[in-house]
Amino acid sequence: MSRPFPAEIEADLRRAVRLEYWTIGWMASIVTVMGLVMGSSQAMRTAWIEDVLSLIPTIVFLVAVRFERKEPSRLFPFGYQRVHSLAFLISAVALSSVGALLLLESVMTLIRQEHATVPPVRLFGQDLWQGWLMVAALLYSVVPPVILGRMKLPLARRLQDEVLHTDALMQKADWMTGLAGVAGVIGLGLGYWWADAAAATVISFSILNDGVTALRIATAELVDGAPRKLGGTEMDPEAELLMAKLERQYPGGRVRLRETGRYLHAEVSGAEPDRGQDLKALWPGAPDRSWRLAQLSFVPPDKEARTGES
Amino acid sequence: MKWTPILCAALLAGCGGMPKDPERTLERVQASRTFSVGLIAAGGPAVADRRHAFVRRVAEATGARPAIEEGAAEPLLARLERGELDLVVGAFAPKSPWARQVTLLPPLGEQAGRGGPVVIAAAARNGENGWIALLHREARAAAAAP
Repeated sequence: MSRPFPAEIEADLRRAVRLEYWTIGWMASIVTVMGLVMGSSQAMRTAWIEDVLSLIPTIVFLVAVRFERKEPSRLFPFGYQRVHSLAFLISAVALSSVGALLLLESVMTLIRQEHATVPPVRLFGQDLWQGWLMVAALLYSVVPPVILGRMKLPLARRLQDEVLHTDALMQKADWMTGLAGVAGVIGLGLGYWWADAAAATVISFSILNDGVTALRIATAELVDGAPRKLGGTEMDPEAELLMAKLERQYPGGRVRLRETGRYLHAEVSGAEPDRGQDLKALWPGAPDRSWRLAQLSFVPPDKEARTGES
Repeated sequence: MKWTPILCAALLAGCGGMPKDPERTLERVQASRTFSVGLIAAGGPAVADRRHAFVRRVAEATGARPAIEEGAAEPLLARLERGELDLVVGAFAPKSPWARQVTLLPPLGEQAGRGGPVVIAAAARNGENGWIALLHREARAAAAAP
């Protein structure tokens, strides 16, 4: 039996799932084309590995959405909302790994002063420098990620989906690596052996930075840190508004918020709950975002000492 | 955006004559009208004929005179890797460990060796892509010649 998502995000979620299937299709074709013309170029090999790894956030997103729909069970009484947080951590690790791998490979190429050989190939009876085939494959590998990444970003914001957001960042890493590869192969053709490694080094810093930021947010989420802004380490503005409202509503109570996947959980300790609490009415932000507040729980004043607070 | 056509034109002009060599081997060979060749001293007369025919082709294609020396494979290939030779020609095992350190060109022929068949091939310094492109073309033509 499956549990529906909030009505406000159902359509966006279906669209995101569709986009992810498109991503798998396009990326599979890119990985095949790049594999065929890869040769011994460092830039090409790195771009290919990066393309393969870039499928991780896409796949974990699809798996997480499938789990999120499941009803709570006796063994998982709180449901599967947190699978989303785990998926986010996996995606963040994948993005960081791509950045680190790219940095390591390119720095090693520079240190070893490896001169990549790109020989000519016979095509339709003509000798053609393989570098041109590589450039064509790399340019092909740039187009789908630019489009898919741009389509995913607004959806990630509306769905408050860190996995989708990381996936969009991965797509950005894809096209940036592709362009670095083009610069690298043309640089090789012009006789600059270091061109591809130098371009890849610069870009790897940007990817690594995105990956480490994602790791920090994912870790904060898993250790019940305060909700973070999508793609940033600062506190989520919507959560700050909610916190302020709850503090006004329950003076003397201690308000704590945490994030479980895309949802917010609020706890007020040292205060008695009202009767008939309406979570949607409590939401201080835009009404179409009120689905984010999934739970409000109370710790009555006489029980507060047992929660282990200092 | 107004710079885009200028940028494209500059790029296309720069791409003319690609690929070029990082160590300018082809340019040097054409300018100095000489190139250094190491012939691996192994194999029978058939191997020697193939090697010489190939070197002659390269000389014709570049308009340069080969400075040939014979020696054992190991020291010749090490010198090729350091850029002290432009070309080494001889017999190689199909899975030669040198295939990573230098670039093996399309085989000129094949013959039976003690540990199985060996290929007669030329080797160039890694990354000298312009020079390698020329050698590639001549190796293919030499292999196809009767």
